[in-house]
Amino acid sequence: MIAEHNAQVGESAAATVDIAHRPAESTRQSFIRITMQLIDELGESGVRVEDIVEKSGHSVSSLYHYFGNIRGLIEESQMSRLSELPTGAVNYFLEAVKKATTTEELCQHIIDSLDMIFDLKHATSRMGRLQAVGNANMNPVFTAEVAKRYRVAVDESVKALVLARDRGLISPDVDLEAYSLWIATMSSARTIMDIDNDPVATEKWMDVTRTSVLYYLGLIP
Amino acid sequence: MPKKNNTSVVKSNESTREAFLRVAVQAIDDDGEQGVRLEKVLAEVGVSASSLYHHFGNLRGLTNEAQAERFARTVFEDIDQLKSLISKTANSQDFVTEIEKQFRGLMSKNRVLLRLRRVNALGSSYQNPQLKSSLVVIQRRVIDSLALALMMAQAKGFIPIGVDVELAAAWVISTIFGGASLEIVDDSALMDKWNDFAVESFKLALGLEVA
Repeated sequence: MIAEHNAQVGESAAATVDIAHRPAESTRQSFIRITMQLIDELGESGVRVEDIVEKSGHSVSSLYHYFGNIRGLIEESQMSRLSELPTGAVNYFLEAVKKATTTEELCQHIIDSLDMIFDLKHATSRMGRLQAVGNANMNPVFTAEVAKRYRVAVDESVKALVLARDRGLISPDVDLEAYSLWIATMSSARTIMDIDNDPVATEKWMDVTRTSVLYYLGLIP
Repeated sequence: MPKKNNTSVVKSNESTREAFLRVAVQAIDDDGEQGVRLEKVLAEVGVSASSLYHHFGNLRGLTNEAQAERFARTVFEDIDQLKSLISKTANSQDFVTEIEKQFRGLMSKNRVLLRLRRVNALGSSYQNPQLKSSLVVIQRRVIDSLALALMMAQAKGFIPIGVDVELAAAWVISTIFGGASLEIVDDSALMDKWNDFAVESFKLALGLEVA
């Protein structure tokens, strides 16, 4: 769901102009939102003070007041981009697991949610997150934030899978933490296929992913 | 501004081009892409700006090539090592043991920086089509090279004939890459769990017996 939201943010550059002065949004928030959007469109290196000032309608001195410098603003914006996943992807997966009442339904929901999460239309937001994660190892605050996101995602996923296990839908022998960790990393793994964008290879890769996701829960032999 | 260590001036066995790349790779490793600054690079390599333009077009060109280098570093050597190991292995059982050892080596703690730099390099290709296309070329070569190694194992009967080695190679490489994004969490107990899980998924992808 959040991944979808991400994609929409990227697509609706025009709409953002209209909401540049939302009353509920603080100056600080509007700086971050506009910078996130500029990073989505141009990458970190394309973010320029002039553009931010123009789009936000705030002054340069106000930018320095809140963020120290452009670097500070970029880092906070990257952190906000990061915070949207893997939690978002895992939430979607969770809803699917919770809805299921039979093993067949569970399989179907899991595959549907995987296909949705891994859809090609989310390639840009996957790549954007990867960029944020890739830059994070230079920055301890970022690193802590990523660590927190992963833990939340994994804990939530384990909780949902425990529900399914209690209902007898999945094998009792699965290490649900290891499984959830693995799922959480598959979105980054997918970027390796995304960059090449070879539809045949990608579909084959998705097939292995679908099979593995079900196999490890003991849903298929 | 010259750096405190004087190892930076062109080494006798390296070309100017290689020296540029070495300095730029180091700068990105230390400070990210914004660490690749014209004056600093020129001072460390000890040549004029025209030399940089000759070899790389501009500073962006140098940064892109340095990122490509960071993306590919050690990968081909690792796969060559795997190939020589496969040619030395006598039976299927040894193959399973050895390949697991290799995979665990690739995912070991002491290589964490290498893996994170690879994630950083690929992440930097976001909205940088020139870098992205270089990385795609490298990525294809990596997958082809690993697929070739697996094909050697298949020819020796270690991997079942029905296994699509190219797909298995892509699976292994993408999974290791995905794991690297978890690594900044820096929790070795979690990482050990992830590694165990990943190794099982590799065996499954290679059609080997899963424990």
